[in-house]
Amino acid sequence: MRRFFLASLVTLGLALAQQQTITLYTSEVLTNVNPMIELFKRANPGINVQVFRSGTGEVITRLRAELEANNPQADLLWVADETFFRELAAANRLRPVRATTTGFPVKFAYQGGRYYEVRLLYNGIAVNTRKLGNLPEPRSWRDLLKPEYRDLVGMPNPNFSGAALSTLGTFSQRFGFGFFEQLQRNGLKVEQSNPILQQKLAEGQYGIAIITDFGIRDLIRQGAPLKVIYPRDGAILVPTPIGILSSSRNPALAERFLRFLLSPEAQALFAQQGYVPVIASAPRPAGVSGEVLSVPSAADYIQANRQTLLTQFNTLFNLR
Amino acid sequence: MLRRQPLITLFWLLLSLGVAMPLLVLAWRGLGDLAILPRVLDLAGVSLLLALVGSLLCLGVGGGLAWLAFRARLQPGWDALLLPAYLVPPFVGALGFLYALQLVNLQPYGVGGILLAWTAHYAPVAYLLLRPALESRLAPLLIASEVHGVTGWKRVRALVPPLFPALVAAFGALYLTLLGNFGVPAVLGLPAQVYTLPTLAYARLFSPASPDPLGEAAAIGLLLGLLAVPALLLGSQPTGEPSPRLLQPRLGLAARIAFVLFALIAVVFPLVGLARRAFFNTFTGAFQPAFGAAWELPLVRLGLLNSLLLALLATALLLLLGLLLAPQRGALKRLRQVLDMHYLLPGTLLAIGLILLLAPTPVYATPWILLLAYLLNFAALMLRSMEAGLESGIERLVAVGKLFGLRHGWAWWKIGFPLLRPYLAAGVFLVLPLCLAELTLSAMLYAPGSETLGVAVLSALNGGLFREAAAIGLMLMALSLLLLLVPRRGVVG
Amino acid sequence: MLRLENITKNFGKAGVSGASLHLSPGEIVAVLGASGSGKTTLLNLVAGLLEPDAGRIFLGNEDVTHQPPEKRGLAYVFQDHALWPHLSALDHLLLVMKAPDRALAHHLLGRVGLGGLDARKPHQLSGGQKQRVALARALAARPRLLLLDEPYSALDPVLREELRLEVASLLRAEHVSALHVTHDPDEALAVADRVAVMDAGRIVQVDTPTRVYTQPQTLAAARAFGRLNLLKVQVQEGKVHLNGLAWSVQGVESGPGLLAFRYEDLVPAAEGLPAKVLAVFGGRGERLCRVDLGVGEAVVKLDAGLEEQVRLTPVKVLTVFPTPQK
Repeated sequence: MRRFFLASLVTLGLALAQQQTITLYTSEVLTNVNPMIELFKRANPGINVQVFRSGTGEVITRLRAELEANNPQADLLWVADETFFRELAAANRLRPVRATTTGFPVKFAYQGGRYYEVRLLYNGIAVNTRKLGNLPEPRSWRDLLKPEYRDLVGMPNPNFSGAALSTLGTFSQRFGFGFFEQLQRNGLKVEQSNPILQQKLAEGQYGIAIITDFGIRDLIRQGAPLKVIYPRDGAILVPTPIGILSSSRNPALAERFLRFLLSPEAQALFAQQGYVPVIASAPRPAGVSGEVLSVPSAADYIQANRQTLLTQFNTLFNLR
Repeated sequence: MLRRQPLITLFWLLLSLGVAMPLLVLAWRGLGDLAILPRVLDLAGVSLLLALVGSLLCLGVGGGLAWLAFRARLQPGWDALLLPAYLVPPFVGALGFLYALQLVNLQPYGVGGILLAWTAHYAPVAYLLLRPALESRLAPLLIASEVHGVTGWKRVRALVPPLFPALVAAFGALYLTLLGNFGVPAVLGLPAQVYTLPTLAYARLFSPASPDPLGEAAAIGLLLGLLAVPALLLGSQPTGEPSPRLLQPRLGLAARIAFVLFALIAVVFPLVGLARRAFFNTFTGAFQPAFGAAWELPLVRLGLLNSLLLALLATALLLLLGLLLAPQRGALKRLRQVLDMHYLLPGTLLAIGLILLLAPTPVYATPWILLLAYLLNFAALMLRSMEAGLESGIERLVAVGKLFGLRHGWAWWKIGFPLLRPYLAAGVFLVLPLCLAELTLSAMLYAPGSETLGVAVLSALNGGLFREAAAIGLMLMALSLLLLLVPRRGVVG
Repeated sequence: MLRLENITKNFGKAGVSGASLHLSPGEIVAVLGASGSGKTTLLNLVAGLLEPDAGRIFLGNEDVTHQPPEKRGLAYVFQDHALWPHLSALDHLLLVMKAPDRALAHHLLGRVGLGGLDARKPHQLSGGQKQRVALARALAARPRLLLLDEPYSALDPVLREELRLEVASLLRAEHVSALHVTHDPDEALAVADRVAVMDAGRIVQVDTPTRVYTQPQTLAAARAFGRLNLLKVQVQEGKVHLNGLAWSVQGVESGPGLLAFRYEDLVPAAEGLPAKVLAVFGGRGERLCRVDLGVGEAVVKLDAGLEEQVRLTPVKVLTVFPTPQK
């Protein structure tokens, strides 16, 4: 028994070693990133993609620790925090890739192709229509301060979610941090992540959420009584770039994966998953017609004030 | 002989130092980040209080059940109603309560949920620790007080003090376990921002708001170790021989009702919660099992494979270690004592220590670091099981064999090892399930490719895949309950 | 066969000091002594389970003092049998045989009266049967020397007497040398060619059982066989006086002492000491009385009633021992 076990372990080890593997660190939700990888693997047999998936904050902290120990594990990074990509690019830790895909807007190949936007996601308002009942739906961000929405609103934790950090930074710049203090007084609660918040919203533990749009559309397909609202004053376009680390042990494969994400079949899958594809000719997700009225995320402001913002927010909501 | 002694002492000194290395590194790094401590002292208080209250609850419920079973002279078969709650991994139980409490419109997150899940899981431990003490210590005293007509308050005063050592020892063991427990507060506390020190260390380790995540985690680990130390001093209590059963059964109905009630609350209730989620669409209520979707997640399949391989490998290696050391009980005992630190102290300390120690090495971010952590964490448990066997007279029977001219190795092969088999089996059935459902260490040490089943559940939960998490939890629960069918010797984890 | 030279071992209360002993081939020597006299320690020293602090142990001409047990070629029969719970009776024998021989093992089990029980494991055997397995195992090992440590004390009296006679004749027939530790004088008398009496870690006398019974060299040796009366007396110039009766005792210093004689050596005599019967109790097939001799109490084999007045005199005195300093 023991001998058999050791033998099979060795065999397994050899098998894994022979297969070419790239490692992706991402905050993409598993149910979306897994089918994407399956699609990639079907087009590229023999290549294995390992995934470390967590909230943007955790992924970044982990990579930071690995970089500090000079032992980074990731070939590709794909998270919702552009500031971290800027930091990596400045430290020359990202490997530039030339943009060659036709129809790809060059503005989404940041810093000369050091990192790419491959699909667009927006922070908007989602409501549980059943929970909201007769209350009017909010139309703008400031509507969330109305007393009738007291104790109904939730948002994800910006320490964990890159999209929530984007919300925190953009609103702080636009409305001032006082906006969050007002939200807090109106009973805003903080959940760990977008996926958890959207589940709880769907279950009726919340009536309204400041949340990424794509996952809500996925739940609507499953039968949840939800609705996505893009506010009149503009949804936040959350950058969720992907880049190749210069320390990658397999840069050619990593580049192949990145280019694959811009291919027509990958773009179509993005749309199916509820994202807005980055390439204009690709299909649109269900329920989204035309351009989404959006404002860019306040990346510069976030980069400059990240620590202060998080500390202020943590103190306000008693987060650790 | 005289010249060898200092060498042997040096060997043990170096070995102890090597084993203690993760803790030493943790202490060193933690001392450099003490500045965080004032900000987390309130959470140290919460942790301490939760562990104390939780231990008392477990002791109360488990002790109460033990008392009822003792008074009612319940057959050991009734234990089967308590054991399932203990066999189900704590974080799976917590997941079950999470969903079950939502079913009945109760708020599962926070202190209440944590205490409920802890009590459900660890009250059987208190029961298993206290029942033998009641039989061996209390039975003769109770018979004597019945014969001599001691009743009421006088009887309580006569009976409780002799139980004190056993109660204190059980309390110490529970306190250490609860203080270091990660799974339950991770499932039922973290989402509601209710932290204990182990979950706080975990949160800090992955917090982008922290300037030095590792240092702060180490400082919190240090604090956790500090809270654990007093309980380490409460020694374990040897239980005596059970006395003849001259006691008249009393409270038979109450005892049986209590046992059934406990099984309903601690096992069936969370089971229903998990099943409801796993089988039915949350929004439409339609029958839509989530097992397929859970199985589709590569994380789950990888976690299952990794957990199985790690558990089997760790158990096999520990078994081998035990077998190699069995013929030298002195060495076995000393090694066990050295390794006790990683078994008794919260696993969080070991995990942070290993990260600090091994992050710059190629071992980091591989399954091997997990294997190392499992070995360090569970070695003492396996060795304790072996020790129990050796102390039961096996050594002497081997010595008898040698007296009859059998050579050392042959005597162990033909006599010692076959007789140790039940104790080895007991060790395996202690260590294997713990490794399979391990979360404290793997949550901190895993990397892409080395996810475990516990990590898969936690990731699914954090990723909003509630139904998939329920499906995996249900499978884990079924797997654990299979262990009920394995005959076990009275060894308590 | 076995030679012990000045063996000393500090071992708590049950140590051994300066013990010397010699066994001839085929000889059975009983080591007789109270519990704590060091007899089991002595046995464990011979077995190699303990190492002596001083002195030497020879088996044949070989100095085995520092040899491990497995090299000594011994067999041991324990009070608690020390059988291996996972092995059948037959496997016990096969495991200890230098060249496993099923036929021989089967034959040996038959010889100790276990025919047909080859496949039984210890938990399927009675106490007596277990000890027979232990014995067969010991014989199967073809030991240079067989060690027996109170082998029958866990058995009931009938079985005990039966087995010890069987075993003794078996050992004689097989010509096995044996060292037999016991605290039971009947056992020593029944099985041994010679008896070594131990007291407080010392071997105080080694001789044939009869000689030790009739001519004990020390108080401890006298006590080892029981049935001993002791009277406090004064010795004056080689003579003991007791209520007008006098015995000469040779080589005894003047002063207080203990006059020792066996139960059966106190007999009715017209000129004897006046005595009153205090209690009557049954011995094994005899009637014993505890009597007050005026100078002390004694037990005597006597057909008399309670409170009866008799006259008694010791017809044979062992000796006068010096009063123990305690």
